[in-house]
Amino acid sequence: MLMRQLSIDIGAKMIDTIIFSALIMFLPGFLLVRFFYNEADIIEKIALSFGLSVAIVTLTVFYINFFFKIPIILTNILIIDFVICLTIFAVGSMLNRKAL
Amino acid sequence: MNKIAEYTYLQLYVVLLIIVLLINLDIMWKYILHLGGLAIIIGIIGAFVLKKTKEEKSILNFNKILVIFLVIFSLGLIFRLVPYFSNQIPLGYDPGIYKYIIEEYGRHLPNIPETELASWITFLYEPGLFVFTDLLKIIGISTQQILTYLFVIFCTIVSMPIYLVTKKYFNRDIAILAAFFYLFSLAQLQTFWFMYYKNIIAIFFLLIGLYFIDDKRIVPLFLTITAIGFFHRPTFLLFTLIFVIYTIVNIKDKKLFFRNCLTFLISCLALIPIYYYRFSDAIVGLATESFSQPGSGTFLNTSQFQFVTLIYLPLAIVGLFYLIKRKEYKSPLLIWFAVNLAIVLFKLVFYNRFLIFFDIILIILASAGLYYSILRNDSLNKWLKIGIISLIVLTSLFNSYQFVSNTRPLITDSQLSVIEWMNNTEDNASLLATSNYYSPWVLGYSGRNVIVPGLFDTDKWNKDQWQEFWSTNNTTYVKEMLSVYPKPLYIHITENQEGINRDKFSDSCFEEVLNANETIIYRYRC
Repeated sequence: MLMRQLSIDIGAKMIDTIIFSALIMFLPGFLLVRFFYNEADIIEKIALSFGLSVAIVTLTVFYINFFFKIPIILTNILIIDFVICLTIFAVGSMLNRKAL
Repeated sequence: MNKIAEYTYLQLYVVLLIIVLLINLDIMWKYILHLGGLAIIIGIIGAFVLKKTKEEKSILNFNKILVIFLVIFSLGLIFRLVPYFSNQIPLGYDPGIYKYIIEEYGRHLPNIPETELASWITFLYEPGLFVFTDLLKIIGISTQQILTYLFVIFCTIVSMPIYLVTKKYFNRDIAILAAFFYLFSLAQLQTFWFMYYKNIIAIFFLLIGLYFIDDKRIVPLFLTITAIGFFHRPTFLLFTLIFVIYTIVNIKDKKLFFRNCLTFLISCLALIPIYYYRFSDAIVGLATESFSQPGSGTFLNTSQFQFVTLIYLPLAIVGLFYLIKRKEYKSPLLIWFAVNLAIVLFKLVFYNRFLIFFDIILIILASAGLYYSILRNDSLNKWLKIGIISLIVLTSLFNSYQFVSNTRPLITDSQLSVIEWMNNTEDNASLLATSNYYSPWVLGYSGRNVIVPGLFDTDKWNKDQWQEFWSTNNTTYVKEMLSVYPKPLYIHITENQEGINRDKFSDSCFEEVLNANETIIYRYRC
């Protein structure tokens, strides 16, 4: 029973880590690529998504802590990530509509 | 004449591949021929084979490219995992230092410890990687996983921006060849072994930066340039040189010129907060040391590098001639090649470390060279092309498998467990590490304040004094030197260390608290 509970906990923790990793290391860049570099193939999209996500999130977290002393905790990271994604989505949609 | 050059090129290249294979099978001695010279000659002959090619469609459709990419990516990943099949200790010299700094940053969470860090950290290490590892730790990835499996993934994933850049400047057939050469390059496997973590992540950004270099949007390029500066200063130096030269040679394109100048300026402004507290150490200190005592940097030297790149060196020369023949003098790839070659040739700052970047540009050019001189050469038989490609694949796979299967960490499990034993001592204990070889491990894994002669900020004596300390049996002198360090104090010594007079440790001030796995730990009691 205990072993089963333990394996469920480990499994849940792993799923959490995978989801958070995707949110931090993939999603912001993916949105940017989706709106502005949609002609790229899937390998290019993965490369750009990963690189841009790490750059955006890491730099933003650094600046926010440096200038506003906002603590680096999971909730704040997720809020920052969400705001970045929302901004990219809004700007991307607006520019795409203009282009149409 | 052209036919003669073509056959000579192909025959010599095949002979070179066979020689490389035989050397790795230990059938031939690697110094039997001047193989670097031979490779360059083959490359020059190969340049005559290049024909004016009209822009043609890719040989393979994208589905095939994707399948090939998945296969080589998986193989590259497995090859890099091989050293960890029977071992959990990270590779290279530096994992102990990385572990220490990652945990130092982690200890200061939820803040970034810009002002609290020791000056050797701010001098040697940019904050980027450690802010990133803070995020990874928060989402549940441990330091051990960051130093082992995650590093394996990062090393393998660099094949993607290589594909990206090569596809942009050539085509996707060449891009898949570049990804293959990267994944099984011995120089890149050496980088993996050395665990140049910052280098690997910065290479990723460098390649993305080259992708965005002529893009009309400012934001992606700005993010990439800032990230390069945030993660790794030498990569930033290389990218800046490429970027500035590229912008100047394209000065006729006013839009590009102003956009690039503006982006670079904003990126530099964005880097000010990053280096605000560490400017004197990280910028002034490093620049002064680099110019007053230029070091080579720890990596392969040029002759070793020439040997590990033999498979694609001739092809890279052909690729270089291809760009020159097409008069693509303004290509960022050509600029990268020239700048990087100059740094290595004129032995400028950390020139051996710049071989890591040089290898990547060689790989990209070699892929173009292979494609235009062999795969797109209509006068060659299809089976001959398949034969040459198979030989390249076989030699590369064999060489890299041999490398990874012989790769071991620099320290054994038992030696590491002795260092980890220090975690059981008093919380405020200090540990004097006596060997440069073990000091990074002691720093990262002992969990205690570490004193290393000649390294870090805790060192209070000069080299001569330390040498006297090791060789003397004068306990008064030894005690005087140890008196400046906080107590309780432990001393880490290995049995195979030369030049240490152990008579002094028979004094009653020293108590042998651990003697296991060829390692002795003394406690200083006075």
